[in-house]
Amino acid sequence: MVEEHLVEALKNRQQSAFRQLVDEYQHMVFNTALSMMHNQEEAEDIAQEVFIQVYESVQKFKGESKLSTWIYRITITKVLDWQRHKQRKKRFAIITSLFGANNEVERDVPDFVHPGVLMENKERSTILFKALDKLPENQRVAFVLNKVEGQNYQDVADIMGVSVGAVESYMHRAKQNLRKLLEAYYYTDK
Amino acid sequence: MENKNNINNEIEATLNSLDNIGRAEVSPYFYTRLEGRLQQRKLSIFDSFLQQLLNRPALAVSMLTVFLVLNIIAIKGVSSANNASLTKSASPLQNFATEYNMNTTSVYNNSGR
Repeated sequence: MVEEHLVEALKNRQQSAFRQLVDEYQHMVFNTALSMMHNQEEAEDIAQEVFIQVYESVQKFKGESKLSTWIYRITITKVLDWQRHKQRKKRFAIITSLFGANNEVERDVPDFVHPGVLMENKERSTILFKALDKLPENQRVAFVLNKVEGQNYQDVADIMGVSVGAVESYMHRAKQNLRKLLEAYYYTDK
Repeated sequence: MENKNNINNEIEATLNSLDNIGRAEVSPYFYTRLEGRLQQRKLSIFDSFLQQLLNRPALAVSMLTVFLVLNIIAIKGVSSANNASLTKSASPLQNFATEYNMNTTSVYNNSGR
């Protein structure tokens, strides 16, 4: 089905159109969420949230951007919201544990291995994903969309709602920061 | 020096470790699970509102207080409006009765004369 027809059918609440949308975009949404969250269950949870959001707000979609761009945007927003919420919870748990409350401080997640990484790159990619977590949001989003999802700079710019120049700058700084983090890792930890 | 070169090579290799990465796929029956969640969400919007209220007693108590205060204000407003309308409507009626000399009791009361 052509994209416009699919959107029209979704606006008319056609169940078959919603199924087609999910079939078409589920892996894209899940992969993006997983690459940023590093947890399969949580990524699937966010993927479900994304499609529920799409279902509920498709009437507002005016077709000014590609459908995939809109879905990417929703995914990124959901992931970042979830991460901010988790960060706040973690900070609160640390503070309350200092005052003796028995809130358990969340332990660090185990090393993340992306299922799509080539066998020979598994160990290095785990180190890279760990370093990626320490980057500012914009740099992290641009890096994941470009390197993991394979989106070109123009598409990344459309998804993030910024100019191509801004994406180039995010990518440049992301690589610089990653290099510094990896240097620190290899020089001190090894 | 050689060690430094090795580390630089390792950093480069790490930075390039996501080249040719494949897409992670969501586990099977994703749509079925999503459909279930969507149904549950539709049904439980009211339930979850109640649940949220129960989870936050402070919110529930304050909402109940606001509800009661609004009710009291409404009842007072209605009763005072009724009183005002009664007093207002009583005097024109009386005026009317006086004007048409209707203050006397019914003619049946005079039937014995």
